[in-house]
Amino acid sequence: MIKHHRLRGVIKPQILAHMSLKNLFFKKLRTSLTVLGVVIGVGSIVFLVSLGLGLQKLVNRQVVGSNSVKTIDVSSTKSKVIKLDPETVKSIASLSEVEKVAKVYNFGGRANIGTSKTDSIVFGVDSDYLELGNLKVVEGSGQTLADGQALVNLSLLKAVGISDTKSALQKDLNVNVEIVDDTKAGAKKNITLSAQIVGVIESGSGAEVYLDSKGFLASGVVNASQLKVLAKSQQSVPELKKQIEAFGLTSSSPLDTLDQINQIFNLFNFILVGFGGIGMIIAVLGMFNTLTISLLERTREIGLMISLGARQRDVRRLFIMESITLSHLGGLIGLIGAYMSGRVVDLVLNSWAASRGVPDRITAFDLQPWIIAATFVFVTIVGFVVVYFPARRASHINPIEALRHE
Amino acid sequence: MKDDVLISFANVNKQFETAEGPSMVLRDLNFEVKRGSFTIIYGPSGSGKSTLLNVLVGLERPTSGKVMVDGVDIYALNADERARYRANTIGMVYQSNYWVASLSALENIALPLYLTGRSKGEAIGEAKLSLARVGLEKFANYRPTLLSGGQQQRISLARATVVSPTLLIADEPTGNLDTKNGDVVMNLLQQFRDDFNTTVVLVTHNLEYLPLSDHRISIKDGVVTEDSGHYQASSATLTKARNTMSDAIDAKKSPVKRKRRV
Repeated sequence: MIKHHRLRGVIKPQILAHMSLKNLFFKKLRTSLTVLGVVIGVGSIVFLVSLGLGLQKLVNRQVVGSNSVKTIDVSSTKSKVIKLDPETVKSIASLSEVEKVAKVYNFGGRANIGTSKTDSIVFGVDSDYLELGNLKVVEGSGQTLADGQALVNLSLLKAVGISDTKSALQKDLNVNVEIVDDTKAGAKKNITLSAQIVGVIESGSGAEVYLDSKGFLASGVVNASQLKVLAKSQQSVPELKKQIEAFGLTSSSPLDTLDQINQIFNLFNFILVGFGGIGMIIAVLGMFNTLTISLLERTREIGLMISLGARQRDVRRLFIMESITLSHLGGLIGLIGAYMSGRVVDLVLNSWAASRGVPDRITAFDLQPWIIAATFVFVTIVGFVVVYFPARRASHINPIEALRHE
Repeated sequence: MKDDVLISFANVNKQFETAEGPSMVLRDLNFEVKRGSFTIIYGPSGSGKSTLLNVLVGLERPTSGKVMVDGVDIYALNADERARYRANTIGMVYQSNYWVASLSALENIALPLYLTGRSKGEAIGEAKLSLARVGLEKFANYRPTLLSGGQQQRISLARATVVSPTLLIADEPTGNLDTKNGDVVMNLLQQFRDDFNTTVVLVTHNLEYLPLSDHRISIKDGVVTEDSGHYQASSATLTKARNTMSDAIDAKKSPVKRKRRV
């Protein structure tokens, strides 16, 4: 019965969008204040979360340092009973997830450079250890150690009164070490080893000397003091640790610390989101308020639109578009604001750090792409949720009463 | 229903529930309005005229009875279809002026076109023509609320006619205007009917304009007390009525110049 051929289409979405923009623009101050609320809410959440994640990354990097998270330090707390003997090392090396095992032997000793002497820990290391240990070389080289070559740390140089690290290179070093002769039932004996300093490293607060382990092995040392095990992947580290601990050994990995730090930071980030969330709740209430006032002010206008032939859903869509525009505008500006604030924080931190002599650039603010994506999803949801009741009310306005409404 | 009948009310009743009990506002209304006629529905305040109009535009469902417009039983349609019926078939002029405050006069005129799915360019183009017909082109970009009552009513008329409606309904369109402006609006209404063969239904309590009509329906206490039926309005009557209008309207200067028989 309906003469469809005479009935034209329905209002185009782009016209509704145009009208919603006109309405928002018509109340510039109110719109700006509402958007500002969302900007502050979204901006503070994004800023705080990005800062939290950035700091977490920074701290993780500091803790792990140059150590690979795939390495596991293995030692024996009951060295009298459970020894890191070649057999045990071989068993560990044969575990399926083990990539490499490095051995280190350490004893107390006394180092002489020229006439200066200092007590020092003396490490006997193999080439794998130099690779896995990631020693922080500040002078010379530290990748390989030939027989008769040594690395010393800054603390040792300080103890013997050498302040110019460069001048330490090529200096002769004599080390008197009290070793344990495993071939003679663990009898202690003193040996003296001579070497030339080829590199200076930054490590620990006590004096340290690194020598090639061959000198120790030749003197009867058999059992390692510590192992560094490289796992094939980060995922296999926890399982590998369990397997190593099954030998009665103690293991530690940067992942342990990392887990703890991450737990703390997750809580920290949660609290930050909570703080930002308060801002967001206020912003959401502001949006609700704006949309409700707009609805009340425009009751007659909506009545007019319905009497002119707008459908309920057209009115509802008009309000939804206004709400989505408000929330997205706020979200976009909030993101930009958070990003700029983050850059400022980084800039201030870096210039402060630089003034204190820290050469590395710090990035404390980490705005990740997923945060940007999540922000847009979030503001879309906010836009829809906030407008639900106003839009519903608007679409149920009785045009006859609305037009009578003065 | 005969082809030349545009509106048909058959046994239409409307009852409102009030605090004092049910109140019959329209009682057993039966009348027909011919296509292209100029019908005036008149009666004192509270006689049910506005309710009748609301029923006619599809905003107030009658308690019983059937309302046919252009061959369509409008209350057999669902809400969306009725909205489209309003958008496509009806042009409406109210006593008070209602606007979308954020839109210019031109865009307010374009609004009914927007609602029927026209693009912005198309709608604005047609709205300009409509605005020209009421002679207010220069106010296109004004906010309607900044204009005088008479100008607003003319823009309201431009909005009502922009979709070339089959039925133009005016609810006391001169109620808030002085005689001069009231005559301008009445003249425009009649011009639209003459130029586009648009059926005009005018509700008023002002009997001054009765001579303009070719069909009169009197209503009192919700009952049709007199239905003249369609009659040929004598040109003498029209001339006489026109002559009573203010000299402000010079037929030559009238903005309604485009002749288009539909």
